Amino acid sequence: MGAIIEAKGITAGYGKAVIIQDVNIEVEEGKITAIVGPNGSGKSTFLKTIFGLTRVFKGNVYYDGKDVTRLPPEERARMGLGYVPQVNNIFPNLTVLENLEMGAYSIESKEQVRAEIEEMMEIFPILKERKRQKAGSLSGGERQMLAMAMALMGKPKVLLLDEPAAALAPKVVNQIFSRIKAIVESGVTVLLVEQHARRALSLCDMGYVMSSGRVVMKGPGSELLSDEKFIEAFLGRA
Amino acid sequence: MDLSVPLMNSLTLGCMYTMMALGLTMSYSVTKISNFAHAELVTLGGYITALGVNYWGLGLPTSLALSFVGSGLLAILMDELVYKPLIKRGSRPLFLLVASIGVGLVVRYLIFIYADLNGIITIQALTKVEVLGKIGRAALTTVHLWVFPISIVSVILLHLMFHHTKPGKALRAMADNEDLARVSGIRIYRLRRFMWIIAGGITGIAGGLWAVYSIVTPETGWMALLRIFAASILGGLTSFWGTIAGGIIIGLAENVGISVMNEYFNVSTAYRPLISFVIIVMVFLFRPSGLAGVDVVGWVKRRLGREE
Repeated sequence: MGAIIEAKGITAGYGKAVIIQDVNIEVEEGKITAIVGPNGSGKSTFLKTIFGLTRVFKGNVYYDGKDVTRLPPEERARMGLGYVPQVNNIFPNLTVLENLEMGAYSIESKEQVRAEIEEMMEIFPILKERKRQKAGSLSGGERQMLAMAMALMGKPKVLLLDEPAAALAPKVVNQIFSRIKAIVESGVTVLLVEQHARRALSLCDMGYVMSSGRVVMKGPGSELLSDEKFIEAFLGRA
Repeated sequence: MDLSVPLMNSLTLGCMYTMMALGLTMSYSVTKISNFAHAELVTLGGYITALGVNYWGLGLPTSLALSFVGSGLLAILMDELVYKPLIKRGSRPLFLLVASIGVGLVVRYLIFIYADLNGIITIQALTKVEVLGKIGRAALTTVHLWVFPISIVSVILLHLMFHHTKPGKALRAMADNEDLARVSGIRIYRLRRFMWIIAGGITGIAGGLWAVYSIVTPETGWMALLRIFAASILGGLTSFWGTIAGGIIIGLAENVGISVMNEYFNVSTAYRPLISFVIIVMVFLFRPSGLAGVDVVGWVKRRLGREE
């Protein structure tokens, strides 16, 4: 299988500020690709760029062989891209149910939306209990579950996850990561951004390391984890 | 003292302010523009209804429908020609606010020129007004029979739209978080035009009702704007029910309130507009979120629970 997402020579940022420079990343279909790196290395900005939420100064983003660099985010979503931002990833004033409906906005058939909501409530049982509650009243872990369910509602081919486990209790983190594994097994390609390098790299097929807005290393997750240079620079000696 | 007359006026004006303020609250929550040109949507709606009834030989319902369409289209035009291009260039909210004052001035004086050329600087929709009955000293007339049902039905329809239709829910989502709405596949520009039609339209109908209730001049909207903003700000600029409560409160404060103050404290009724202004300042000083987030149902439940 080939690359479903290809970023070629991306230089991007916000307004006039350049945050990432000349980034080349390929995401293989059906696999987990992880981007790790310290805070402020441009990982999140890269994810936003894939979705068209930043300003691209140079380079191109290809999705499924098509150049989508200038396409607005809503059209990318309709092409099968899903994205779970790190923060502000739910609509707080909408109920849990309405949030899920928004996740399936591009699906016309009401029956299909209903069926998918049922499916999500089976995968994330907590959402069923909370379905009439405003999403703003959910706990951090519940929000993350809802955000992921929303992104899955649109039946994406590729799911972009921005630090899905940040600021969550360890038990919830394990739950989230086992969900991610299940998602990949169901055939969805995942591009994961994580600050916690060890966890992400042990999970992923292919890993990229970003620092100061550039890709500094790449390789299969297991190789990176045993790479001397990588350990020294990012994990510290055990 | 007999408050029946000011009370009746309060309700009538309150209903109209509510409709106008709901338009403002809608457009503010979705676009985050403090649209001062909202005033002109009222004025245009008023003129269209008055012209429709007096000159074009249309009935009042048709004229009001035309006001809805006219003001809705004007709202879209403002956004497409001025606000949207500015936002795409990264304008900050303050620039948009100033731009909206400019847009308002242009539209207001275009209406002025048209009205002057046609000798209709002041105009009222000439409908047959019959007194249907008396409540205290206040007369219930056919005017009220238009104002009350139309505003109540508008509020109900808006509520149904926001909670039971796909575009309505998407509008609430967009007001919450525009980027996330786009990420969910919501075509925000299309939705934004839909919002302007509804927000402008309901404001236009309120203007049309104003033309039935009283006279319209090119400055009618501008004069009402302070009250509209006060009502909307009482609703925290984003809350639907807060805005409705705000509209009624402003109506009451400016009629019953001023009557009481006039009777007991000799305050001149000329200070009427000051009330809205004071309310705006007070809300901004002490509770910037206005009535938004006030949990009435929860409060009642707690009270009842305690008394059991």
